[in-house]
Amino acid sequence: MDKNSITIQDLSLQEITLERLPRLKKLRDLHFDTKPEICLELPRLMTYYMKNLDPPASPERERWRAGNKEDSPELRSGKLNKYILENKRPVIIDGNLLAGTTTTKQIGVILYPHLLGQSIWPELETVSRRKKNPFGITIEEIDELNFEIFPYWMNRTIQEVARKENGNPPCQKLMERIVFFIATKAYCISHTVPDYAAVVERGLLDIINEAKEKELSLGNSSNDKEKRDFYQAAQLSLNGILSYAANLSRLAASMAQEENNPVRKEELLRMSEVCSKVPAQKPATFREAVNAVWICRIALLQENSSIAMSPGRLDQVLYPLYRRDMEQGMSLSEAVELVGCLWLKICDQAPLAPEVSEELFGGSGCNQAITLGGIDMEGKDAVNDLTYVMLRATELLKVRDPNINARYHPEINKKEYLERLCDVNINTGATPCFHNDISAIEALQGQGVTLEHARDYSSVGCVEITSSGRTFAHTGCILMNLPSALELAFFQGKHRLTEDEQIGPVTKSPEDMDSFEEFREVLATQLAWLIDQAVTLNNNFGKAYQKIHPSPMQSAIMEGCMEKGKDVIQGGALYNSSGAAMIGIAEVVDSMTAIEEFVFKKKLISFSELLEAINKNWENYEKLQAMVKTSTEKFGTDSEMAKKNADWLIAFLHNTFQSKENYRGGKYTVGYWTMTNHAGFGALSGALPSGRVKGEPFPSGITPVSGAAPELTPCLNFVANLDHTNIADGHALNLKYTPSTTTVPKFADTVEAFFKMGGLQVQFNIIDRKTLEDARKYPERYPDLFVRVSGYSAYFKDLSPHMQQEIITRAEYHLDTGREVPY
Amino acid sequence: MNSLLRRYTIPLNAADRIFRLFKAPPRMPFAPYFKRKASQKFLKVIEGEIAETFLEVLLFFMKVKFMLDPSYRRNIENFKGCYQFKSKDGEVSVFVEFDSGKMDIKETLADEVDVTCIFKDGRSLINLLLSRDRDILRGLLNNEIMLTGNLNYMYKFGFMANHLQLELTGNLPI
Amino acid sequence: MISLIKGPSFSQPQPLIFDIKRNALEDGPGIRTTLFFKGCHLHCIWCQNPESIDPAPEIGFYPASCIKSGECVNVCKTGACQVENPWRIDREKCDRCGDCVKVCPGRGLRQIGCFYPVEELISILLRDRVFYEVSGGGITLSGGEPTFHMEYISLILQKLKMQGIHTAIQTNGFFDWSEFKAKVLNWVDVIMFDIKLADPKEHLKYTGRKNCLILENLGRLFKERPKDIIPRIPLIPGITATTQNLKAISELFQGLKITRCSLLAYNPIGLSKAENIGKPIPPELSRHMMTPAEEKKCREIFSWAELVGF
Repeated sequence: MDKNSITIQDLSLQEITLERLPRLKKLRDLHFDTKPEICLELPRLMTYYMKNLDPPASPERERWRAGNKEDSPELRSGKLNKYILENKRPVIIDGNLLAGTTTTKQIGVILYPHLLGQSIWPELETVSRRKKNPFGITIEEIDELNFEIFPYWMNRTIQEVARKENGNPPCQKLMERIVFFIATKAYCISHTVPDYAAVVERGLLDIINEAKEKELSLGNSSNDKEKRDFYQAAQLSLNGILSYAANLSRLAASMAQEENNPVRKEELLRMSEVCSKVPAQKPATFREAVNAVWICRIALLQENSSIAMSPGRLDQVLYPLYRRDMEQGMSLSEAVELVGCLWLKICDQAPLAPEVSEELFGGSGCNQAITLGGIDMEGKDAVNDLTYVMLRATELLKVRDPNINARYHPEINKKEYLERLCDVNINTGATPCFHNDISAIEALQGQGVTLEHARDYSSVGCVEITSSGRTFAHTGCILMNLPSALELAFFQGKHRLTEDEQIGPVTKSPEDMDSFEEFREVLATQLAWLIDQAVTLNNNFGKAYQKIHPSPMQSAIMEGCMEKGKDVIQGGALYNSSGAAMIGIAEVVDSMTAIEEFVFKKKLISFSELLEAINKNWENYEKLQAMVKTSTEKFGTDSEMAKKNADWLIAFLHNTFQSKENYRGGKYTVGYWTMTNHAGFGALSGALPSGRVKGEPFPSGITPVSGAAPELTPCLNFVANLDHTNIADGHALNLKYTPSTTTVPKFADTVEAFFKMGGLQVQFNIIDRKTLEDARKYPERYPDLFVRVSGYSAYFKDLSPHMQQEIITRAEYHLDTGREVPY
Repeated sequence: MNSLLRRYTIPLNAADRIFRLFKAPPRMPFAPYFKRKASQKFLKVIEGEIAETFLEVLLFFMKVKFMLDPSYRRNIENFKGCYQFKSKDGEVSVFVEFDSGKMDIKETLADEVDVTCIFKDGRSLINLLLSRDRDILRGLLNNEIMLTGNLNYMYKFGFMANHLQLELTGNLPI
Repeated sequence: MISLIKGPSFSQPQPLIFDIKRNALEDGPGIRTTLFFKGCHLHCIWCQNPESIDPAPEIGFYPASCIKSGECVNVCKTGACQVENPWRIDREKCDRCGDCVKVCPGRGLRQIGCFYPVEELISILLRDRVFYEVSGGGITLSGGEPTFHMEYISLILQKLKMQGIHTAIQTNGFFDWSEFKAKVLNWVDVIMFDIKLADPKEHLKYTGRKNCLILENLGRLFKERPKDIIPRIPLIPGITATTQNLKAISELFQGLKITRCSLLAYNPIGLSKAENIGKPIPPELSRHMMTPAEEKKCREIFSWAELVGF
């Protein structure tokens, strides 16, 4: 039998339904009925350990270590990891087949005290009662956070350590004005795909042994101390995972003893057996493999934030054992059930969001991206039976996490696979999204990733492409508000929001500009300055991690670190890029083009008049606004001028970022995806020459401005023709279709044509405006309506009003006629 | 606002009176009345009728509460932190120092503080600090607040201010 | 007097196109681009594209895009543009000079009908080539009536065929057979041929022409290219969608040994388009979509045929 041959007859697995999988149905209902609760376990353990047991604080240890050098940050983190995992409470909370929970709650909000956990402090007593996304918390827990936990961390968070180390630098103050950029490391660094293949193919004991051998092979010289510390830290961390698994096994066994229901008893016994074997040993069955991945995931989330910690290509990693079990008599519905159990486990936690970020940027899940299909490292079709099993589980559950990303190679993958993807997209309304293997692989090769490794890419977080299990990229470390650079260029380094303050360099006044090129140069100056600020801050944050929070556990499950004897935070992984996401590209291109067309080419208006118009938010300039808005020179149309400006901007951003080095010795890549930031940044930004009025959401991702690109094919052509090797951090093209059931083939053809022309990624919401309007009015009627935002999926009811508005007004095309639906 | 400092030097008997507003022993027949009065005053401020005096009132209430309520005082028992509040127009500059259970308010500009908060007016401070019908967006849009320094100190201050408000309006979580 | 159109003066009637619809999914197989020509020999009262009948350029008014700038009133020499007029243009007075279109800031007034030099048109059509190739789609000529401009479409079709593009035409069948055969037939892959009314008198009443030539052409075409023809019947409630008419057409088709055809459901959207160009809406026309039951009834008459839909 061929390695990946498809044996499933009905690719859509229609026979397998939730009605036939009562466990999944029950767990799904439970998921939607549960209000997330803030979980104190992790901050409690971290705080206790750091206060009382972290070596420098303990006089006993001090004596014992007399004469020795201080523990390296890696070793301290390794010890902390071990302590946390040994003391983490094993929990078997519902009827899920997988043991263990990320937090101690059914759906827990993890609070990382070193990563902006404090931002919830002012709201502790109101967060359980707020209207949007309330989180449960008890009075005792509030007291514990307020009196015990938060005070300890006041000077010990990444944000504040970085501030102190660098003397509250201007770049950090700049970020705190919110409207220019956000460097996300203060909140998370986890945008990565761990090497789960190693967990499944080797087991953790084997990795521990490797670390031990490497440690012993080092001499005693102080030169090797750093490496030795790292190997020790890796072993400590992994041993922590083994303790946690053993605790789970014991718990399951004791629960089994007390269980009267023979079916449940059997389940618990089996759970106990599985956890006694994996992840220590190499899993021997599909179920063991799924458990091994799950337990490691729980552990990794104790070390680093859960945001965008992506499982990667699970249909590849788990396939050999899936096939083995199918040959041994596992049924397809058992397989779907187990995959469904994993999916529901992955959404057992939610990100912490204080009111302000909820309002501006809210509604996000944790963006746990799973990548399916595509080609394998040899370049062969990698779509297998398990791919379809996972698609069916996704279609049945319709939960926002995991975020399913489908890879499609238009020359190697089969069309029936693409059609099945479209089918699932239609049935779920929002998932999966589509990645083009040809362009993605080229983009990665452009970053020095080898062909084999590039072929083994998976999506991180939203849409960012990285080689799986060997890249530590923090693909979302900078979120940049591009239109703010436009503002600085208009007002000689000032921004309308921050008023008279001189923010950027003083550049030439637009009144004195004689050509469009001159303006472009000024824009380039401001952009370069802004990029420099953002990169500096990200590097400061990175160095703060190196100092206080390395990730030895993550490093042990990542290709490269063992060979180099280095933590991922020091550049241990094989690939070490950083990714910056640009927000508002279409708005900037349309503004540039409007300036070029109306000010310099047609000379219908002077630059200062145009600025006057946007300062007045187009009041009394309605004619000009209508003219600008109805111009056909727009991002996403056939316009040559817009294309030229988009190419220039994308190339400029790519080159400028590429010229910067991150704190791990890697390069910066640029992406165009926005999560919900386009709505937040848009709300904070004024009118622009594109015809935009104040406060409107920016278009999401790399999507044209709503209404500016009325036809679908020119829009797809436009985006497909952008140079994707300059977009190595991925892009999200968000489109909306009116639902229809009869048109899968033409839908698939559209995606295929986009890919053949070079398009990198595209994603669709398939839902009509009426439903969305109704859901906005009556959120309680649509508890599980989920939509694609810009890269990931979110429940519509959780989104901020701006974001809901953006989704509702997003360009919508009829799936059966291809026409744009007028708004 | 210039008389700010003077207002914080509260005569002892006044402090005693205020005490009753906050933690009136249940036996006192007028206790609910006094408590209602205090919260009315506070509400009047935060509801905007006299928003300019918000900072004044807030710090005043806070200080009194620290003096008189041990459970509230626990918030600053082992805490050391310096805050600078400045109005944009430069009219107001208040320095607040917490040190081992004491709260000290001075009408001055300090050299070294943990966090500085520059605000447009009383309303914008209310918006920043109290999670009650907040309009965060408006605050940002109007460039109402600028924070610089260690934000965790501001978060802590935010908690204490919110707690006070919730207590006075009878909205503490149960 | 016509300064709007590109190219030479309007006195030699030029083929005008009033819409290039890309990503067309209903006008033939696959993903297509459909060209809508201006000018038609018939004027069916239900015409879905009322702006397509007159071969000369027209001025359309789109109230949703109007920002009431008043610019049109200022430049109008005949006094046809009136702000207080809900249809903006008094069509009696309008001489279609097009000045108002040029000054309208928000595209509330638009020129309907534009001439494209052949090369320019081809380059536009080829932009979506990959979509055609992937989906088995191509170009559809529609209208109006494309054969109204036989020379021009002949050129276009030949150029497209040289590029290997799939071509289709939607025609009312009212053309000179020998000219059609010589200039068009060899370069089209699919012919969608409209049959409206079986009775010549009715046909005259509702379309302005008798149907003899149309039916003759259908017969000839079917003899020549039986596999490539899809006869289409627009279902107009009370006019073509009557049992009597449909039965008569059905018999006619069976007589010709036609095995497949298409029924086009009624869509009142054409009514609002008529308003845009200031045409009155005939009172006979229904303002509602057909009910599924009504549609089903029509389809049943053709139960013997393969009903094609895209």
